[in-house]
Amino acid sequence: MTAAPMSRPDRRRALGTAALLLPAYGWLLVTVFLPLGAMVVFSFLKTTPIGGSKPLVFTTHNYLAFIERPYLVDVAWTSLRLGFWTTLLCALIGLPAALALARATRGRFRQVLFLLTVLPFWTNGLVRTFSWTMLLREGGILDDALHLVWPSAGSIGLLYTFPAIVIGLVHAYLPYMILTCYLAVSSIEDGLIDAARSLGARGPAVFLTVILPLALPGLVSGAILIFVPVIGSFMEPRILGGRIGVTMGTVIEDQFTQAYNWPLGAALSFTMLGVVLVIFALFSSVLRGRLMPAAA
Amino acid sequence: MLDGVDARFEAGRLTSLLGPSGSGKTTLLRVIGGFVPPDAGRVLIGSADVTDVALWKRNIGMVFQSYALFPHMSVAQNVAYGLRRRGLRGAAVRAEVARALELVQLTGFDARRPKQLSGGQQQRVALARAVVTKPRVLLLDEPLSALDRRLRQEMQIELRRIQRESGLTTVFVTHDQEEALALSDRVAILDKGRILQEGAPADIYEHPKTVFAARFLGDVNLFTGPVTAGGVEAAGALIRTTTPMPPRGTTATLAVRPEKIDLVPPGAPVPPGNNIEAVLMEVVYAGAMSTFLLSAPGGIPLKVFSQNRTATHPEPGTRLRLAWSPEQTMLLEA
Amino acid sequence: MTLAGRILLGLVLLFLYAPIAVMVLMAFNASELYSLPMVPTLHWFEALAGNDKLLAASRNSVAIALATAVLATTLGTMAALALSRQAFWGRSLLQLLLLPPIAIPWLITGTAMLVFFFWTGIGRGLHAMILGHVALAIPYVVLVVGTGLRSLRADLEEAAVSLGSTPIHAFFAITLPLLAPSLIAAALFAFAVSLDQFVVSYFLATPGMSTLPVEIYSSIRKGFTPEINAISTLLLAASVGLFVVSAILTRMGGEPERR
Repeated sequence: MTAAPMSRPDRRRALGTAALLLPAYGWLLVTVFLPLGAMVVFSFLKTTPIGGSKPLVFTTHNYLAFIERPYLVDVAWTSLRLGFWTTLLCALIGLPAALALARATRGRFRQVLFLLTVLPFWTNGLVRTFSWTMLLREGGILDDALHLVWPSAGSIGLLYTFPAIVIGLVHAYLPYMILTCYLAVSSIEDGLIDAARSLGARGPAVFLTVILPLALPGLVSGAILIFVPVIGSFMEPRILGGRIGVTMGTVIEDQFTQAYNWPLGAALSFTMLGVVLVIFALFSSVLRGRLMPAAA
Repeated sequence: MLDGVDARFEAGRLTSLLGPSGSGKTTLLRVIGGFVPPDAGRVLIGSADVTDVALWKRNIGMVFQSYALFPHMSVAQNVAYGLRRRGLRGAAVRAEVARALELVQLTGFDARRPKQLSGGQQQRVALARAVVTKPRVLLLDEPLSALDRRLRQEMQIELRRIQRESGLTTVFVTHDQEEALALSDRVAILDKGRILQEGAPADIYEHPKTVFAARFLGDVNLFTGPVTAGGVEAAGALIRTTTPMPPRGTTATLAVRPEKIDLVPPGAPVPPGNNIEAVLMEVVYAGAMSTFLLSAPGGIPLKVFSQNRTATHPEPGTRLRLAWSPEQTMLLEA
Repeated sequence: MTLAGRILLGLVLLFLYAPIAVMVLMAFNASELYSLPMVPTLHWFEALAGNDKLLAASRNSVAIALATAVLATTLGTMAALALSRQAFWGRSLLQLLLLPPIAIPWLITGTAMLVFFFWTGIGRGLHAMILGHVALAIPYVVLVVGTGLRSLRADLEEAAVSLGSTPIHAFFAITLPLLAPSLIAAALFAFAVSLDQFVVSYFLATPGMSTLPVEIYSSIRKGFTPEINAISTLLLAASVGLFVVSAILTRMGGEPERR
């Protein structure tokens, strides 16, 4: 292709392409990109511009919230711990499950199992979270089941604890990890594992030297898909964590729905996004440097 | 992709565009069809200039490499598509479709879906769909490349018959030289966006102009050396040709096809014409014939095809005498 | 290895489905405190019929989901056609711009919409929720329709045009019918994304104009009633039905069978 001046049919085609793209991207501009831009502006405002025609005063004050309000550091730490445990548990369950799906099942049976693992995507997350409250609360279904087997046992009573939030979040995001790992793992051929065996690798060595490196892209994209929304989650901590479920997500939500401190909410949102990006930048450079020296 | 191509395709004949991938043969076909506009130059069908005529008004028939059969339509609907676009309806369409399906020997397949057909049958439907509208030009873009070898040979014969019966001016793109030679009235060899040579199949096979054309059309033995009185000095001998030679002292390349060379049995009289001595390196046995790989003085590799009339072969390492006639010796441009 | 793998898969599926199954069962259980043994009843579904607030919210949810399905499928399909048919300057950037609506936490997208819609006077309510839901659904539509388009050979349209169709006729006679399964799947996907959407609706709803998930959330925070189980069960059934239909249409059941 040379950079020749456009001929008439070329120009008409370019106009057609633009006409096809404009509605969708115009819509996204108004509903996503301009709002995110507006959020950036808002995060530098001194007060929420609701009612009255007070002049807008700009400040970087909102980004200093973590220094001025030390309890926010604890909240952020809770969110990071939630993100860490949820992602770790999803990886520990999701990768073996994906391997089992890819290697221990065949044909139609596998298709059905695969559909069953992605089906929860389509069900309402709110409803699924709520269903855990019935299982986890004191005197809930899990307690009933336990007492059937062991009548004198105490109550599990996990509801409104940190583990309850993690359980709910793992339940919500595990299908992502199974899906991404399955996509990575299903391309591993039997021949590859046979080859490793024929070269003298035993079970654990096959896993470490062949399966894990090939599954790594799936693990990484699964981790990103899980970690980011978990850090920003507010509905699961509220429902399953009750009073202890104070996270970045719930604090930000409060700024918009209770405290009406929109500038602070906006600043916290971007700080959170920034922290997540930094974590992933570090994470991916470590991965690239240590685990995948050969892969460019 | 194309560089100053000037090509003429004779009415009612089948012309092949033969070239390696990237030679511009498909681009040339798509320019003729109107799928891509030429940057410069004109496209004429008969005496009509169609350069600015939109593809859908050009009245061409095209058979695609993938056949491009409409998967949501039956065989009959596929074949009828072009007729309907030309405003035909009802019995007229049915009669034409029946005739086209008969031509490609698919009578009774009307209601099938493309998916229910074999590759060869899909090929025939694509052909019927392209010829049923009686296009002014029939364009075929490597239509046989997706078929296996045996089916491809069958379809070559079919294609030849259908083209003769319909009398359509046909342009056929292929990278397979045997296919081009077997099918065509005329063959045009393309390389790097240029037409190198054009002519009847036997003509371009027996008299290629360049080393590229000679090699692309089949195996060839090359002798490059200084021109002296009456021939070229190469492989420890003087090789002659009946073609007029360039002036003395220049370098020239002579060539001979492997099937033109005779292996002279030891002790037999040396025949007139060109003959050289070479060491047998290897014999590749292939049933009906064998390929002899030899090395001539100066390390020149040679190839000889020999019909297997007897079951015995000389051993590698044997010195053999090779002979062929100067008439069979071609002078090539580098 | 095979047996252990199957046991593990069984446990994972148990973990994924047990709470959902419990909730569905409890929707049919007479006890308000979810106590066992189960006494089957349809009482809670009957109670739903009298709950005007939930019914109104359900109607809103369906209306918004329908509008989202139509708008997102139309806009997304147009964009997918442009993005998958030809290479042009800036195409990869445009494809990259489809990620933020999916990848940025909905909490941030939703609050950003709240802030911006308030600022510009667009405000909250039905129209605002449709604006937001369509934005979230467009990337999925582009993905699903784009995949469908890629499986369609470009030479089919060329063949139609060589046989005398104008490009526009070829699009409607050849491309559109062949694309229909992808379009329906994309529309179902958009419908489901909207029907299940909670976060963005939560920030854009008004007290008089909310959706089913928003109402469920406020009911949960007020206190549990088995009515929520009943309406959640209905919502689940709708989602699962949509999923099954679109799975059949796109045959997204893992890899194709080996031959």
